[in-house]
Amino acid sequence: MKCVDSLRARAGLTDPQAALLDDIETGRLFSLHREIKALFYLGATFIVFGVGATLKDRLMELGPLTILSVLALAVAACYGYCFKKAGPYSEGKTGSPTAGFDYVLYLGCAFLGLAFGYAEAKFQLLDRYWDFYLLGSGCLFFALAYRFDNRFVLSMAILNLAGWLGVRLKHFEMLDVRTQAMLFAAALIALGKFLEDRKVKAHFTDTYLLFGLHLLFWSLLADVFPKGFACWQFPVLAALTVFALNYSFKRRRFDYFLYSTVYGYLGFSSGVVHHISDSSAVSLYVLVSSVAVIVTVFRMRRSLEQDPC
Amino acid sequence: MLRIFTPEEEQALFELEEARAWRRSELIAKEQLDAVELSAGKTLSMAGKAVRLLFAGFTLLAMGAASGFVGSCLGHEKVSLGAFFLLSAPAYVLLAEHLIRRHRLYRFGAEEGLLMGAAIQLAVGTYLVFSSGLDPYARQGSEILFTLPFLMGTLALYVRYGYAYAGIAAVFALAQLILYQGLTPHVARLTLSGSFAGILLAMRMREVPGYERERWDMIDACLCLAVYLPLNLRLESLANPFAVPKVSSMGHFYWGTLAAVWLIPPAVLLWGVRARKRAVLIVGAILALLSLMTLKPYLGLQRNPWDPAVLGVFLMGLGWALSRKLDSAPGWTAKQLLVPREELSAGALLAAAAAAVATGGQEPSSTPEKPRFGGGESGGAGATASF
Repeated sequence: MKCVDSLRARAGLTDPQAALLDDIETGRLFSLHREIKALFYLGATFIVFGVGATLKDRLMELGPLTILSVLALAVAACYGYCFKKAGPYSEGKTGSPTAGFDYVLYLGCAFLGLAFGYAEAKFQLLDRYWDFYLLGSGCLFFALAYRFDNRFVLSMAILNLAGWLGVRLKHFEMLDVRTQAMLFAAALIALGKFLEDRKVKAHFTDTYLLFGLHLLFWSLLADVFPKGFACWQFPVLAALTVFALNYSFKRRRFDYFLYSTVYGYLGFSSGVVHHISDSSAVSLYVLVSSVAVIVTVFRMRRSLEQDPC
Repeated sequence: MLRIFTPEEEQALFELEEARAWRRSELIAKEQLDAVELSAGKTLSMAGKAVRLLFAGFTLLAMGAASGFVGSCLGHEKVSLGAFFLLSAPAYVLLAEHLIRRHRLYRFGAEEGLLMGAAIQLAVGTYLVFSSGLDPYARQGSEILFTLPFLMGTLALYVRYGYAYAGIAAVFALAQLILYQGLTPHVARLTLSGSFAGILLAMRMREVPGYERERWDMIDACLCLAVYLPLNLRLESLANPFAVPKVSSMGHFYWGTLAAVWLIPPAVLLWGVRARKRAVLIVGAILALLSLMTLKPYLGLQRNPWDPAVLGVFLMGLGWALSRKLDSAPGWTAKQLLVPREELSAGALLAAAAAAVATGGQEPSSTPEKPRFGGGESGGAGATASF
């Protein structure tokens, strides 16, 4: 029996509802939404790859002025299209005005990266301050991500800014790379929560949290792995795991549950394994501990079942 | 019935999941979903992808650790370890069956990990026990001792529990089995392709219930891939894009495969479109892309560095045309009809990978290196060129 027929009476479906759902279920109405998005994404990626390869291959024949002019034109065209098509700025979630809009924006950002990279490699305009290209593009991408409501461009902005901070702070030798990463991650999480509280693109919070949490977990683990329990990073890791687990239950976001359990287990186990030298004891520990994790999580299975929606 | 779940149980869960998808997509009201949930009663338990992955991962980890522990106790002696695998595999299956029956688990990860682990242990155990006594000549074909039990195990998993990935693993195990038969390359390719085409045709005869349609579509799609891949002789050119193969001395087989490589994708696409099979449609598009990308090497032509850009423009153009014209085609739409659950986003994986790379153990140096501006080092803004 068809699903719609079975649910018609139970759900009290109206005739138009039942007709539409029946069309969807039987494939009489078929959406290619995701497939079209995949085409745009693949297309944009191939274009960036092809343009990059052409520039590299024909560097001498084309000349720097031609290359930079073409790239500048491409960037202007992409951004021009986006500004022309986009609706007014909104602090809420806005849909893309056209199917290819997000990918044209992505192309513009990628071409800008190519132009900066080429200009610096050719003319050394900023020389040892080359990392300011990262800062410049990071800031621009932030602005574009908020203006056009694009989480992918926001990810690009975060990565560029992380790159810039990493390079710039190395000049000062005040902080090691992991402490910088932790501070940056904490700042990301705080910024995400701050903007969420003020309802400024609240749907971006996940992007900030995911980058922030992964970066924090990895930075802590990078110290816990060699040092075991005997470092200040271990209690911080434990506290962060508890925080992330709590957050996952509160928001019913089980991807956070997955990450925090895995990272917490890795940290704790590396501390334990640090004190065991026998390989069979390590196997026994892994066996007992993973069964313990399974049993503990399994006891919570009612809370972990799929949310209705 | 061989299936552990009754059709009524699977149908009830399928209907509930469909109703939830409709609610997510705002096609029905909350009260309507509540009514469906109430009337559904107690259905099978299903977890989201993240929880399934967690359970399956830790279960496989525990099974690996148990093998490691027993292995170290037995002094890593192959036959004894193999015997342990063969003895423990049925025990794992029994445990999984117990969990499924006791807690009414449908897709929860732990039982899936146990069952997939059991299939792997059956294969590895058979190989370890029966290959050790073979003389070196006979050992050349001993891979069959792994592949055959793996094929049987994964097939059994599909039949008994309906795991689509077990069915897909069985398809690839069958391909391996054919390759071990010592056939000449041409015959092996034709046998592979022909066998999978035969299975595909045979499978079309079966009447599939609604709750199982998506799984069968995925296996159909996988079989289409398995028919195509052995016939494309230039797939290796994707790894070495600027090599120019010589084609002047190629025979009928070579040109025949070129024809097949250009006939199969439209046929698969057409089937996907007519039967409204999403997985088949996607595989058809992937095959068409592979045929396009391997055409120049097939004809012995030099690739140009701008070829990917031309292909990219074509793909974006196609996307643009489809998004514009599709809504006027009856039965098709470019709009999103059903909203998927937000689980394990690609962004999260990107974030995890970036964080792992960023904190990957480099100690700070006093003089920052200048970048080469290669392949996405500046967070996606960088390109693939290395100036």
